[in-house]
Amino acid sequence: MMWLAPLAGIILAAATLPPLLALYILRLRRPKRTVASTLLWTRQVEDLRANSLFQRMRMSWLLVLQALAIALLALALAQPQADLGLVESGRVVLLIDRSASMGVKDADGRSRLEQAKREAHDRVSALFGTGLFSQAPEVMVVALAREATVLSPFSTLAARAHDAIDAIEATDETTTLVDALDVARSFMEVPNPDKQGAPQESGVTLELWSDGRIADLERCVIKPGEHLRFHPMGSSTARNAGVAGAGVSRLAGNPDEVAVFARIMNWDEAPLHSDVELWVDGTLRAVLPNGIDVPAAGEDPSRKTWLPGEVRVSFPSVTVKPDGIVEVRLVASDDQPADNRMAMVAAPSAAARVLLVGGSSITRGLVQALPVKSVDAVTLDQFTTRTAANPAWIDAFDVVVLDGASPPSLPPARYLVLGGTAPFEGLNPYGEKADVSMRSSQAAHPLLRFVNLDELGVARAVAYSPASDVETIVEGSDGPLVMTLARSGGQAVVVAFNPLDSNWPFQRGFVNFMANAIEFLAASGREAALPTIAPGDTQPIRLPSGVRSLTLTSPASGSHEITVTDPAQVVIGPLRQAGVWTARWHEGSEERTRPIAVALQDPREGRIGTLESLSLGLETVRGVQGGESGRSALWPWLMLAALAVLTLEWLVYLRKV
Amino acid sequence: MSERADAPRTVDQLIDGPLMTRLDALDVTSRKIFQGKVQGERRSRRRGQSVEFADFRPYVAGDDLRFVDWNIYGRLDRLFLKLFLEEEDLSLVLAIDCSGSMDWGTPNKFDYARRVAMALGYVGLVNHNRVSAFGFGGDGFHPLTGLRGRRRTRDLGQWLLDRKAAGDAGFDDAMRTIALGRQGRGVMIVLSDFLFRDGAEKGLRSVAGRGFDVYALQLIAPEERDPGMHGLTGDLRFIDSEDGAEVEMTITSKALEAYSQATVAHATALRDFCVRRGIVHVPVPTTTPVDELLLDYLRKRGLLR
Repeated sequence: MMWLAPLAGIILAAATLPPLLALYILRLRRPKRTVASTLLWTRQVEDLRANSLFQRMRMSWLLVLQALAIALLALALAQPQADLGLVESGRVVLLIDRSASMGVKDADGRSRLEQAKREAHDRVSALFGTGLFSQAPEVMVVALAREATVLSPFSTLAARAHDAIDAIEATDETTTLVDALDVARSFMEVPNPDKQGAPQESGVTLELWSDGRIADLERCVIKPGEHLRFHPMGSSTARNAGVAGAGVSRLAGNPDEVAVFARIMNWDEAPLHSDVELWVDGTLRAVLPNGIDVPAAGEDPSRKTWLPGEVRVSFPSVTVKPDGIVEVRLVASDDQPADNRMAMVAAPSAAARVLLVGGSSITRGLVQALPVKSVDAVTLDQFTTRTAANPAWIDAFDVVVLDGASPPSLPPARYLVLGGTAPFEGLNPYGEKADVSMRSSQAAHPLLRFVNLDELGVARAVAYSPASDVETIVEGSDGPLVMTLARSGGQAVVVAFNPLDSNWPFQRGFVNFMANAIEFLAASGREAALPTIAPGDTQPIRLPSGVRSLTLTSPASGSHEITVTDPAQVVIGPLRQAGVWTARWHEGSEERTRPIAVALQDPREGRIGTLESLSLGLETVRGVQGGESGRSALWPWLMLAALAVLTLEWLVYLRKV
Repeated sequence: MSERADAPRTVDQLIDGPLMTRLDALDVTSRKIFQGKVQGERRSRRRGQSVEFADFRPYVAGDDLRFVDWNIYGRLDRLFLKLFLEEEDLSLVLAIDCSGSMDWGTPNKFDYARRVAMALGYVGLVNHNRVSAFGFGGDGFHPLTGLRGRRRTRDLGQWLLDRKAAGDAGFDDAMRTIALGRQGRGVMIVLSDFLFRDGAEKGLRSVAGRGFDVYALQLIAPEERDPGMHGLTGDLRFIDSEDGAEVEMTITSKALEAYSQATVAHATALRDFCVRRGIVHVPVPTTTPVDELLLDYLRKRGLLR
């Protein structure tokens, strides 16, 4: 038995029972009426010679019934709840998994998430009963996915919990639990000035609705005072196969054509035969002949671990235009269609547009010899004047090469700085160093691909004391020689010396470095496709200055407007749904688009069979079936009883009158 | 107690001329006188002294020879006595309850009692009966004796006007006092509501069988007969007009019914006692007109003729 609002019942009883008794003890202030004699009245009256304020309490059925009715009403107001099991006191955290696997529709035609929300609603109703003033327990609602989202902090309002549950939307993200537990614990910590650092006294019940496919389950720890109840959602026999990964590569000599390859996984315990299709910009371009046969998942005897069946496939080369959408589709139907497709966005063509500011003829000739789309050369004064007049002018170039030029300010762009003192925050130039040699370098960095600096000798270099976020690629004998940094939506590669002040132009590595730097900055040539992000990731994009808004269209064709405050660094997302998102904006009167591919890339989400229990370290939590009712509200019955007593009291009163 | 506006203030308001005219033809009678007071019926010192002839009877030894009818002896040669009606003067005693409970009701019971007493006293005075009046109540015991003849009508009226109703009746003491001061035989009329906490039995027992032909006129106000019809409802605190006792009552239909039963029981008990003691119990609603009471109601009961 639990009382949801004991104080309300006590207040009602305290406010009504004493006055009721007083009505029977205190005499009524009756109007006086003189009669000839009270002789004949005294034979049937109960009060004679009444001169005192109080009178002796006598047995009165009316009093008994009225007191009983008030007592019943007070009890009803206190909202007693019968304990039917699974009743929690204190705090309850409702953790609802909304990952991709929860979208599987194996729960009577409903998705696992819908079923979980339904059971969570029932649980909230059971926890709060159907009381008038739901006060206990405190319930918190957290949506699980790649990140935990607190939809409702601890609250004693049932309606708030219901609203929070309704607000949960499906995602194609993975499931993590550690983050959710940390968030819940942070809400549970109530500062107590008297017990600083003392452990949490009140217990908490964690109610988890999930299919059990949790990425960081092995890192979850249930602390003392916490009790986890796992409500498994879905079926353990759900079938799934999907595209676990895909990629494209440009063919040498023909940058417009790409080769597409993919990795198909089967998490079912039966082999899979399916067709695999390649779609480009919504058009079917290729189908693997005879389909594919993917072996069944199962235990690998040699590794003694469960492994999905896997097949790698490749398609013939296809022509894809920049920003074209390449999609690999697994035709076989299963319980999780979200991972049957994987889309990629083809990168722009490799050729970069280069702006050369100042510089020597050697540098100009070298850049022009590289496979770039165009090379424009301006003096430092021209650069300063034009960027001051129109900062957007610089957006027409993919890479700006500052060859010994030191402009006072730089608009956001991608710069290759050769000598001079570039005004980037965090570089902190403090003078010059002479006779510098290379001490160490990140040989694996893309900038140093096919670059040998062993013979490098620098006669004079700018001395930098870079900040911690500046990455030093080449460390000289007396300070950094080559650095990369990101600033204000742009990126820069800074060479601390003018190549003409060194022997570098006479080495083959200088040519390779210049090519690498321009490719690195232009983000072209390295990948044939733009990175495909995972659900829940954000996508930073750089927009031309002047753009104030963009429209983001989801894979389900829903769109919404995003206000742009800083076009140089716009962060889109998190994008929770797999598929191709499209960002649209206007440059003048021309509409520009930027597709963003989002795909499930975590093979753990592909295994969608529901777990019956969770293994958290040394503890195993067995799942409980949903639908249990926690409490049964007794106040309606008490109200009915009070009504019956009042009716009886009325009848007694009528008989007496 | 404030003087009521409708209370009689003059003798004329107690009894008016037309009523006096109609009462002139009435006389007070006593059942006991006509049942056993015939002259010469038995030897007694109280032989009949009147000249009204009643009958003859044969002479027996010991009879007073003065009552022998010598004319009959001359004609028949036998001795016969002449019997005459005894002409005793009738003593009319009016006992008026002046307690607080009488000063209540509409019409007022005390006013009604005074009017009835005035009318009865007038009948007695007109017929040269010896009229005595006694008022008893919280104001004390007030006797008025030795009235005879029409000319004492105003004295009786003024005495009645001087009476005030208040306090306890003191019925038992009053009756005992009246009985002890009795002069001759007569008719005693008690005008009261008989609402005495100690009962009326003891007082009535004092006067019954002691030469009085007692009539108990129980005055009943309409509010006493049916209080529910006269605005008595709801939660009330009754205050006794005599002793100020308070009674809290919730007037419901059941309470009214119980009161009605108590009223009937009270009247029945009084009547039964009166019957056993040879007292004539006459319940008199105060709504009954005084002339109708005397000319019709009391004549049928044998008090007046």
